[in-house]
This record gives sequence, C-alpha cells and structure tokens, in this order.
Amino acid sequence: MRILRAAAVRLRAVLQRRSTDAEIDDELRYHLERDVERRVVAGMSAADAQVVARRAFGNVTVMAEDARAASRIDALEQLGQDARYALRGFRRSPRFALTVVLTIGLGLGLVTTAFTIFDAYVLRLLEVRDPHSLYEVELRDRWGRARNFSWREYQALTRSNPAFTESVASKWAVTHRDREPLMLQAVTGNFFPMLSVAPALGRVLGPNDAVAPGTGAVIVLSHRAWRTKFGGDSGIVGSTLRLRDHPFEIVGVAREGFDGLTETPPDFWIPITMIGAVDDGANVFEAEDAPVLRVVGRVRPGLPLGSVVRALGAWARDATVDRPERDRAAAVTVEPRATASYMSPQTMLEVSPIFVAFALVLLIACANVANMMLARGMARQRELGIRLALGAGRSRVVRQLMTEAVLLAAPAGVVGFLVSRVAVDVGVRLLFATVPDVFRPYLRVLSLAPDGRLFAFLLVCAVIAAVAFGLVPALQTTRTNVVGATRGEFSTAARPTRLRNALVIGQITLCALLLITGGVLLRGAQRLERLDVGFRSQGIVQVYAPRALHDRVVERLRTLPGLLAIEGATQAPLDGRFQQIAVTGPATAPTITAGTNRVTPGYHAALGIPLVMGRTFSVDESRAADAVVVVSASTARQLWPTGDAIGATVRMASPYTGVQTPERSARVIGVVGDVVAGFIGEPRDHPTIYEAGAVEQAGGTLLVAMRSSSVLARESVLRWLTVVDPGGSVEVHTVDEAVELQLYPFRAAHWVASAVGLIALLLTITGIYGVLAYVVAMREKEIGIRVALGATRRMIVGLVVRQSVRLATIGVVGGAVLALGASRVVASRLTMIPTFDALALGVGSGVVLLAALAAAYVPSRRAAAVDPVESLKT
Amino acid sequence: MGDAKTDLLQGTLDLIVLRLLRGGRANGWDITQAIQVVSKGALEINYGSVYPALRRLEAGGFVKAEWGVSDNNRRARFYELTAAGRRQLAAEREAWERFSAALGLILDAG
Repeated sequence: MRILRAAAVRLRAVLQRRSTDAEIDDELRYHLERDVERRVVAGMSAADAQVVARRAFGNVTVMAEDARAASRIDALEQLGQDARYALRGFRRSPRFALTVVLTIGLGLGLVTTAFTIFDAYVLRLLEVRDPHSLYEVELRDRWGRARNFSWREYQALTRSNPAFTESVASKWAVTHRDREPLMLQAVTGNFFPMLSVAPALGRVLGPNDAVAPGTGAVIVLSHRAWRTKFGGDSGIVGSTLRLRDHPFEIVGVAREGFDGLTETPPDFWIPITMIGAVDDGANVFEAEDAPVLRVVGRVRPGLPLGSVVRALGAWARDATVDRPERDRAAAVTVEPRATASYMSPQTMLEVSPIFVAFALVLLIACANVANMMLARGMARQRELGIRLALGAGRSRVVRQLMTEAVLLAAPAGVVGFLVSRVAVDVGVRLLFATVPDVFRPYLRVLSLAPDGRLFAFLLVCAVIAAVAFGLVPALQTTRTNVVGATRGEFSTAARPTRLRNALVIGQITLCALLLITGGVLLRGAQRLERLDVGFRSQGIVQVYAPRALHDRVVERLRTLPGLLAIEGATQAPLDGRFQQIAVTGPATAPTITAGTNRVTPGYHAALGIPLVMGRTFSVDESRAADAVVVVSASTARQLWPTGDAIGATVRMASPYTGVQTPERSARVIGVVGDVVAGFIGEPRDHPTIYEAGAVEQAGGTLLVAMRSSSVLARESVLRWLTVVDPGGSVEVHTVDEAVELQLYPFRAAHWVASAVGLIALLLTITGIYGVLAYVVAMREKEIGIRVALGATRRMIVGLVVRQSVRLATIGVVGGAVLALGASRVVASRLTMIPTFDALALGVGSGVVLLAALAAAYVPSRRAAAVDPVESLKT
Repeated sequence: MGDAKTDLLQGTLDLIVLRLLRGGRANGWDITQAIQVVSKGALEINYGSVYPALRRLEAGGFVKAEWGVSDNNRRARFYELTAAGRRQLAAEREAWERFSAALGLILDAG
C-alpha cells in the first residue's frame, strides 16, 4: 500500500513536473504570506515582516528546489546510489563476487540447458498457420489400444469431416542414398496448403501431385536437408534424385524453420501416392486396411475439444462397424499438434524428476550463495548496525542488500546463458561424436537456438535466484540489535539456523544420490558389455535389402568369399525388442508372454545357439512356413515343466491388433538354448518362440556369418554388394554395432548423471565451505575463549571438521537410501542393474565424505589461527 | 527564547514532522509554528527546510497531502499521516531511543 502510494507520488512528480513545481511554489508562497501576516498582527511593519519571514525561512529558491528534488527522489536515483555502493563492495572483495557469479551462473546454466531442450520440443510452436487448431487423431479399439488410420478410413474421414475442416495423412519412410539414410514423409496433397507453408525455392507439394497411386514422383526438400545434405545448391530445383532406382524430380525447398509436424524433422516430403516406390511396408493403397497413416486435422473454429473427441469418436465407430472386432474403433485419442512434441500432464509428471534434479542444483547454488552472503553479512554486521542506528530504515538497508543480490544475479544470468549455450553445443557434439556409427546418420536434432521464451525463463530464474540468495541473508543480517552492534556484539541475533543446515544436508543428499546413481549406471553399462548374450555375434553381419533387390542380394552373397552361412530372420537377434505374443501350451500351464521371431533352419547353428532337444526346421518346413516352432529352454521349462515339450502343441495369439499375426497353432519340434533376445535389457530367460522362415522371403533381415572379425566381415559384405547395389540402398551393419547401439542409452545416462553429480559435488564443496566459514566467523569469540582456556590447535580444527562430517554423514545416508530406492525402481525394468551395488554405493559415499572434509580444511585453519587476544578485544 | 540553540541532527527533521503530524492534519506553516512552540524555540531550523522534508515523506508514502482551506480562508496544502507513516514514526522513535541510549553509554563510559 505504502509502496503504491509512494510510487504514485513519484510518478506524478516525474510525469507532471510542471504542475508539481507550481504546487510547490504555491505552497511556499502561502507559508511566507501567512508568516508575514502573523508578524504584522504582532505589530511589525509590513516591510520588516517580509524581511524577517524570509530570513526565518531560509533561501526560498534552494528550499523550493530541495522540495522538488525530494518529490522526485525516485527509485532510479536510489538504485544508482545502492548500485555504486555495492560495486565498491565487490571491488573490495572480488573473489567473493566472482564466486557468487560463477556459482549462480553454473546453476542457471544447468536449468537453462534443460529448458532449451524442453523449449525446442515441447513449447516452441510449429511454424505453420494457426498451430493451435491442429490435432493428431488415433483410433482406439475397445481394449483401449491405439492404432493409426488405414487409407480407406482416411478417405472416409475426409468425406464426412467430423469436427475437422481439413485433415492430412502421412507416413514415414527411410530410404538410402549412397548408404546414407534419408528420412522422408509421404504426405497427402493438401499437406502444404493446409499448413500454409511456402517454398524457399521452387514450389511445394499440392493436390495435383497426389492424384493416383504410383504417380507424382516429386520431392520437396526441407530447408535443413537442402543446406546440410545437398550443399544449399540454389540450382537444385529441377534436378533428379534416384530413390531405390526410382527417379524423383526435386521441385522445391520448403521455407526455413518448417520441420514438419514431428519430433524428428524429415529430410524431404513426397506425395503419399509414391509411397510404394520407397517403402517396403504394407502397401497403403492395395492393402486398404493396413493401419499405417498418421492423421492430423484442423479443428473447426470455436469447437470445444470435448465435442471434437465426441464427434470423431462417433464417426470412428460408424466408419469401422463392418470390420472384424479387433479392428473396430470404439473411440479416438486426440492430441494437440501445436508443438513438435506433445506432453500430456501424465508424461510431464513422469519426466518432472529430471527437471526437479536440475532445479535442485540451482537451489543448491542459491543456498550456497545465501550462506556466503550470511558469512559476509557477519563481517559487515557492525557497518549495518551503525547504518541502522544512524536512522537508515530497515527497508532501506534490505533494499541495499537486495540491490547487491540483483547486481550479482545479472552477470550470473549472462554466465548462465553462456554456460547453457556451451552445454547445448557440446552436448549435441558429444551426442554425434559418441553415438554408434550405425545410428549417427539417422540422428536429427531440432533447432536449439535461443528464443524469447528462453530469455524470459532465464530472467525469471535469475530473479528467483536473487531473491533466494539475497533476501534471506538481508532479512537476517538486518535483524540486529543496534545497541549491541555498535558495541561489537552480534552473535545473539544471528543464530545458526536450522534452515541453513537443512539446505546443506539436502545438497549433500542430492549430490550423493546423483553420484551413487551415476556409479550404478556405469557399473550396469560395464556389466552389459561383459554380458553373455548366449550366442555368437562375432563375424555376423546384418543385411537389410529393399524388396526389389532382395533376390539379387541373396544370390550375390552366396558367392561371398569366406562365407560361413547366410541365414535370415524377421528381426536380427539384438535389433530391438521382438514382437511379444501370448502363448498357450497345455491346459495345466498358464498362458505366457513370449518374444517371437521367424528364422531360417540354420539360424541357431550360425549364431552358436545350442540345440537342447529335438531338431530345428527342415528346408521344406521353412519354405512352406509350416506350423512348427522351436522354443527356447525357458519357454519349455515354463510350459512343460516335466520335459515333454517335443511334439506338444502351442497356441499363439497376438496381444495387439494384428493383420500381421493372426491367431495360430503350431507343433513344437525343438528346444534351443536361452539367449538375450531383441533388447539387451531383456532377461536371458525371457521365453522366445522361433517360427519357420526362409532366406528367400523378402522383408526380413539377412544374417551373414563370416569367418573374419565383425569389422572385416562388414567391409567385405559392403564391397561384395556394390555390384548389385550401386545406389547404396542396402543397409549393412554388424550385430556388434546393434549391441553398441543398445548400450548407448545406458552409457549416456551414466554420463549425464555423473556430470550433474560432479557439478553438485563442486557446489557441495563450496556450500559446506560457506557454512563452515560462517560458523567460524560467528564463533570467533567462543573459539578465542577456548584457545585462551588452553584448547590446542588440533582441538579447534576438530571442532570445525566434526561439524562438516556431521552434516555430510546425515546427507550421505539420506542420499544412499534414495539411491537404493532409485536403483530398485530401475532394476525392476532393467535386469543388469542390481538392486544393491555395494561398490557404487561405497565409492559415491566416500567421494562425498572426502569432499566434506576437504571443504572443512580452510575454515578449520582459519579457526585454528584465531588470536584469542584479538577476538576478545572487539 | 533560551540562548542555547541546537543545530538539527541530520535525519531528525523527518522524525519531528512525523511526530507533529500525529496530532492530525496540518499544513507546512502550522508545523513550523508547532516546532517553535513545542521545542520552546530551542531548535535552530529554517522554516523552509520543513517543505523538502514533507515532500520526502510524501514521496516515501509516509504522509499524504491534499489541498484544502486554511484557518485564514486561504488555499493551503494539508498533510496527514498514513498508516505506514504511523509505523515509521514508531520505528524511528525506537531507533532514536536506542541510538541516544547507545550514545549515552558511550559518553558515560570512562
């Protein structure tokens, strides 16, 4: 209230300067006239009264000017004073100022880095017309499983257009040019017009490009791909790009900043009508019911989301009523597409621990600085006390201290921004440098350039930080007993607060948690690298050929020098989680979930998977894809504990919608050893069922077993294939590389956890240091008395070190308990993470405790150096 | 009027003005007269310096001002304490008492 009133007065004085000036003149004139009047009444002559009144008043011009200035003493002027004063202080103790700026800068940099990524993917609006009205829609069956649209369903949707004014369908595909993967999105003809995306060069796709299946072999490049993959060639429009031997004409480049409607920006767009030329998946137009199309629509203006969902749901039930039950839609899921990636409140909640961890690091930084400010405040207690005694309002002194905090937070914000830019840049470089070679060409990162939102975020964080580290010490240090302070007594007012100790314990806890978790992840990754997957990966090359090339590739590979075997599988052994199906054996055993893969007769032999019982497929069985299966040892154990698996019958049903995997029965002909199948985190005893397949079947992965090492094998396969595949559209990599790829996320997680943990460690050391320095400063007199009474240096040092160790021990125990909980959660999903890792726990805790001891070193020396005479004199 | 006149200690005029305004609404001239009367003429101040003080207090939100009609039927600017002004008065008074106590101790000490 007072602040508002004061602001209004000052604002008026500044804005309505002339009327304020006139008012002051009027007021002073009134005074003089009234004074003269009084003196005349008392018997003075009018002329004398004038002179005396003026003399009593003082210099009228000066007083008027002072009054004007007083009205105008505005925040700015005071701020200038405070700022000058604060800067003088910083010059006196530059190390303090530098430490604060760097500490807060580091914390701000860390949160800003996290925000940069969050901003680019979740907050930044897509650069299209009215992104807020765009929604992606999926169909849901009555079991709640989501699926995409088939071509026929999309056609029906555009005919009746419930809730949408318009909608586009698209499908992702990856194609290769000179072995480099290109990612493309096949879109309906209205894609660019609906989004109002203009070309930077040439033209964009239009309805005339997508008239009938098989027509419209044209390409619009993304601006990014044009620059990075096509050299930014301005004469590119009109040239031809061959994709899988099919010529496409490049007709344009989309405008800069448009990265499609997905998290991964595509390299180019083609009309959906040409999808058959670049993709081996289900033919969108022939197999009309293949649910492969992503649909994004523009909601009718003014229609509430609830009505949209209801209208689309009713339409979907109606449109799929004549389909088999498992393909019938019961409802729809509608998700906003205003940003590259949508986070539901649920997802937001799930990733929030990451942001909380980052925010906690900033909080730690603030706590540290608050403690340092307090310690410094102690030293300035007498100065502040005297200022208070001389009549400075407490608010004035608090304002002064806050000005200091803001002056420190501002450069810290700049440092934070620089730190975040470096971190983002180094992070992206590290990502590209460390990601396995196989995956690197597929890696696409959205633009992480800073925008207004980022600066706003940084500003808000810096202000919050300034308040967090400035206000508490400011309030604490001004709560001084004035009389005592002028005498030099201030210990009573500034008791060590529980809050301060709690903050230090909290940061030690977090630091220990991060370091221990980092250690657990590192050990997990190491364990994975030594993991016995149960099969031989050395010299095994995975070859994935487009349908059209498949036969020629197989034929060519059969003559490869050094070839041991050429086998095939729907999925390579460690190229992603196998499709999971529900398997029912004898009535006495429960239905189990098993991974499934269709493999050739020699698959197990080539990979060195031992045959435990029975036999594997015969060539005839695999050609005919007979209803026979080979099961893994764990499958046999679970379904036939008595050991009579051979000859038994299993029923297999897909738990998910399946045009691809209809329900079927098969006879068990063999049992093979357990392997880690599909995903490296899958336990080795997870059941696997192998069905019979043939090398001749296209669409799967060929496995080429060679005598040489994996790297050499890969080289020779590549060389051998150039004859049949000059365009480089065949994908070739090794099983070892696939394993590398699966290990990567664990390594990356370990790096990130360790990096954040180290930063937390650094901050913790300064934090403990700050608190101890404060405590020592505060207890100087007490320490002096102890020394005077005969305490040895060793005892004094012990006093300080004990304090540090006590705080650290509580924190480390807390961190260890949290880390155990965290690894328990992770271990429940990933088998190689142990629930209890004594080594990681011990090393993590030890490092934090050592850090606490190190941080106590300087303050303890200072305490030991306390001169009892000096400290008691003051 | 006594012979011993005292110069005003810096910063105390604001306290004096606040204290005098506690009695109610007043204009600048009223305040100068009150200072004379209450201090029995012992304080050496320029009347004019009351006006910057009033403006300072107004800019700080401790007093509010409005134009009104004086007892001699003229247009004058009247000042009144705000709630913040009352609090400030209490705070400054306390600070003053602490200070003078401290000063007393120092002066009395050997």
